[in-house]
Amino acid sequence: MNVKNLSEEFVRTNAPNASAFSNASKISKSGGFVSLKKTEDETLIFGECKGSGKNPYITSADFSGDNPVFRCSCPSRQFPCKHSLALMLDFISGKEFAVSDIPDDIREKREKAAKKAEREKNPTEKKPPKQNKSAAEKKLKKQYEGLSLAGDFVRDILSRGVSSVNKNNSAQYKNLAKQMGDYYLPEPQFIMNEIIAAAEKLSENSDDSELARLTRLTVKLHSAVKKSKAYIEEKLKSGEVLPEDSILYESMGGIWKLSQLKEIGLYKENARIVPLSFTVIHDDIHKSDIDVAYFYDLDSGKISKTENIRPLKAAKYIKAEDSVFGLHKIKELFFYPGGLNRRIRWESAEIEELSEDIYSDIISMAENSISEAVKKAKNELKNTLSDKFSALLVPFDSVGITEKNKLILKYGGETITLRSNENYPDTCDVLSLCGKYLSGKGAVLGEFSYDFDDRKIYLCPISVITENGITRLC
Amino acid sequence: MNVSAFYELRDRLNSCAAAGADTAGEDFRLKKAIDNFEPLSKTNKAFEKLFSLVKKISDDENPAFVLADSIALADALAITQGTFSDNSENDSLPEYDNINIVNAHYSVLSEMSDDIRKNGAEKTKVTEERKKLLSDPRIICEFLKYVDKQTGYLDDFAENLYMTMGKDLILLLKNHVDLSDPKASGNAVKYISDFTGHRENEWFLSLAKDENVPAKVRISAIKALGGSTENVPVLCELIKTEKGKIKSAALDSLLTTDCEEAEIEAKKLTENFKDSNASHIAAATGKTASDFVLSLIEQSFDEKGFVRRGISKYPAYFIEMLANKPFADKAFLKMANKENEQLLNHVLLENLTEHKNEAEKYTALIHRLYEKSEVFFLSEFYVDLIEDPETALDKTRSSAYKNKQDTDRIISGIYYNGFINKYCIDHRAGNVYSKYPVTVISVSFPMPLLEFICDEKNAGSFTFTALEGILSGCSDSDYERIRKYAKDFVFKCAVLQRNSSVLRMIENHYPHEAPENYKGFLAKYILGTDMRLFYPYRIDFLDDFPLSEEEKISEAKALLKKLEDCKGKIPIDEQRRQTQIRYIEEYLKNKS
Repeated sequence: MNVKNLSEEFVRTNAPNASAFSNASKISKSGGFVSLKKTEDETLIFGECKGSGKNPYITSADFSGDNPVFRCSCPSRQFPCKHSLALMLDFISGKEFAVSDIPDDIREKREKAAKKAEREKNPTEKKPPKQNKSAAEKKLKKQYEGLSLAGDFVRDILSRGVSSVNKNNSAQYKNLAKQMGDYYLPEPQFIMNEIIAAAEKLSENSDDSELARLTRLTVKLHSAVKKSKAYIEEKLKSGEVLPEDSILYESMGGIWKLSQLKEIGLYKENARIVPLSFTVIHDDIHKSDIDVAYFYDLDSGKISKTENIRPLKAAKYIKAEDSVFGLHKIKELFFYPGGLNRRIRWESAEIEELSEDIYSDIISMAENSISEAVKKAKNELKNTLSDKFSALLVPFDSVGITEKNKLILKYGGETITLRSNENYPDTCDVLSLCGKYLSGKGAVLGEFSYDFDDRKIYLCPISVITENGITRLC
Repeated sequence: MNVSAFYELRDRLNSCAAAGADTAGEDFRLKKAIDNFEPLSKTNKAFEKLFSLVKKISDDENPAFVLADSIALADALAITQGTFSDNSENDSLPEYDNINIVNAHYSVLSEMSDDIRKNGAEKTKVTEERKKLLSDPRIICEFLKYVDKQTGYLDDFAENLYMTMGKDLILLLKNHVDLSDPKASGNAVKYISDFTGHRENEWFLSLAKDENVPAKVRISAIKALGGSTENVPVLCELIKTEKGKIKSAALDSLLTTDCEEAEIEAKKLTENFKDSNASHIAAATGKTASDFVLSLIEQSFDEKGFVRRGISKYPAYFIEMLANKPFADKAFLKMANKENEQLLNHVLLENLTEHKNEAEKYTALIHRLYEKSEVFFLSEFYVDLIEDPETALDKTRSSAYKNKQDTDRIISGIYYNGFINKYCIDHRAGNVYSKYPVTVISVSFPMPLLEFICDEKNAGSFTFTALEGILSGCSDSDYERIRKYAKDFVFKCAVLQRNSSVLRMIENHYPHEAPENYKGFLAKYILGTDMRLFYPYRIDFLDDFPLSEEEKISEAKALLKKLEDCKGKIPIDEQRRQTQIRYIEEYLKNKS
């Protein structure tokens, strides 16, 4: 990356959270840097910034490698810190940077990094990480034991009846859920906790929809246990105990490493993806905030998503994502096993401005009809283990509004009701105000869901793509 | 194909899960649902599979698992059967000229939405970036939700939203009123009334006359009719034909209108006066009501202002009836004493909100009253600030010093309104918590007010909170001027006030001053000026000071030594002294 290509968007994307960016803007505006320097080849910018300590902090941003390197002498645990971000903002705003020699310590660090990169390039020196098969087998056996316990949990609850669980008898279930941690089964543990919480809530306030939710959760746990046990039995039988392209690995609480995804072929080179939406979802059960963004793959036409889970306990130390707008060019894009909306991840991306013809490309790659989109969504939704929402690009001719303010999406003689869901609670209200942006053909990125009460499929709009651009509804 | 038997079966399976799979064998409804489903099971393989599963529930040795499998399959089949078409009658979406989507980052949008949600739109901080968001539909949606929640008074956010969106906002607010919801709030109507006065009179009339309109909406519409003689016949009709809150709202509206009918109604109320009529008398603006309140006060209080024997009412009862009376000087003065100060000023300032279009009448009342009694200082100072903030203190300086804390509070309510690039005064000025109108007072922060706040000799317990409020709420261009002016005062007087505002102010506004300013501060701050008031504090805030680690340790040690020297010598509470020593030792231990 070249320092000349620095943009505010780049700085914002690299900021660990919104407040770091806002603090960096304040430092930059108030002239926090007492000295600003750059090397002649403009691969390094550095400076000294006033801080709360006695001595100024020495901050630098090094663009000599594939990925920028940020360094700062401040004690902040956030990375990059606000001083590094402010340094870049100073550069973007056109402040004068005096030309200077590269500082010795940075030269040494660059040399070390170059040597390391050389070693990594040389395949003879690079040893592939050793996969420990016996450990994996042992873990699977332990998980199998835990799954049997989770099965007992399901049997007990369903035998007695889900409405029999209440605050008084939930202690034994809580103990059982706690034990799941010992069996490396965090995800089943979360579902169990969710069941217990829902049951306790139900015992306090009887509610039909809550009862139905509780039953669905129990059935979901049962399916997860059943499928996971079959998966483990198969693995142990075949001797192929290492992870494979299956959502069950993650649903049992497995965490994928990028190297593992690459090894099983779940990656793509030179990908081009366009961000379509961004939101933050609060997950009460996992006690986390999840940054969720949908992306459109310009080559495959698929909708993928990123999920950045930030447990509230560690929120301070985990970078909070923000919305991004440009075309992402990614050297190596990794996919997680999954269905319609695979989770994606990458280490670094070049961000370019979106050209206008991209919007037409995206619209042309939307589903052919509403019914076709619904069919795809149904296939996904009926899998007990998949998400309860499936996102697709649905074409539209127009959007109508009824007297009771219900929105209806129309395309080629077909219609579907638009309804906000819990992840995007206000998007229908926002869309109802966007009439002037909906002239002409376009596509709506939306999440399909099924309502068991009125037996209907609904679409929750998230973004609208027209030939003029992307209108984000949240 | 009629699949109702399938849905019946699915419902029964869920009921069975609720009651327990162990009792499935005795569940005759489930059995009946299975029997009814049998013919359908022959129509396709998926139904057939479900049928074979459900048949096993009562016989299987593990009925719970079979039940779970059955529900999972039934759910999947239900999703497959799900419909999506919607043939309801519909119109095309309205196009709003003044609504514009802004390509803003999520963090910026959510921060502003959070501000509206948590703090209300009344004091949402406005930056250049936020100004552009004012007409963004995502922000407007948040505002509309806020309209429902709050009590429906105007604020600068709403006013500026109206300035930006004009008739589009009126249309949106009208559409926002949900006439099908019996619990719908009338706030949107109140907003429209505040924005447009009587311009939407026809709409208000249509809502007021319609018995099917939700009660709160109708009441707001009836209230919006007040003040216009055009609406007198409708209001009189409503008084005759309606009951309860609707009648009461119509009566209040009529009483605020300058007309003969209002005086007749006021006379009826006063002739047969009951306590339940007090709120109507309070709403009335006419002479009959004003004279009546004065006579009531004269009957109830003696020459010295003491309650006469046999009167069981509190002064608040009478003062509340003084609302909306622009010429009730005599009655106000009769009640003017220190005990009634808050209430009297509350009523006077509330008048300014309620009668924005006739503010001169009510401002003149305040001036007349302050000339006669200092009790009305709070209202006078507030009005003086609106009229000329540079000279506001000239008129009231001695009263301001006597009421230092209240004056500081009022001054701290002055904040920069980024929408219009001017200073406004907060709704909650002074110690009188009420809803005040947003009033533009000046372009830059008035220097005499800053001098008053930073007066070393008169620093009070609220001064630092006020100064922190001013620094946080001033414009970017004023910030440095105010910060520099207040610096000496802050470091000199901060030790007098041991509260979180002082530390917060230093942390937020003076983090980069020369280290000399912070040396010795710790000991002065902790020990304070009066040892009898000494109270132990944790000293972690020291880490925010721009001192080296050695200097921080040395500051902590110096304080420790002072405390050790204090043992038994001064009126310091021993237990508190020990606790403070423990805090310092803990701090030093962490450092090592």
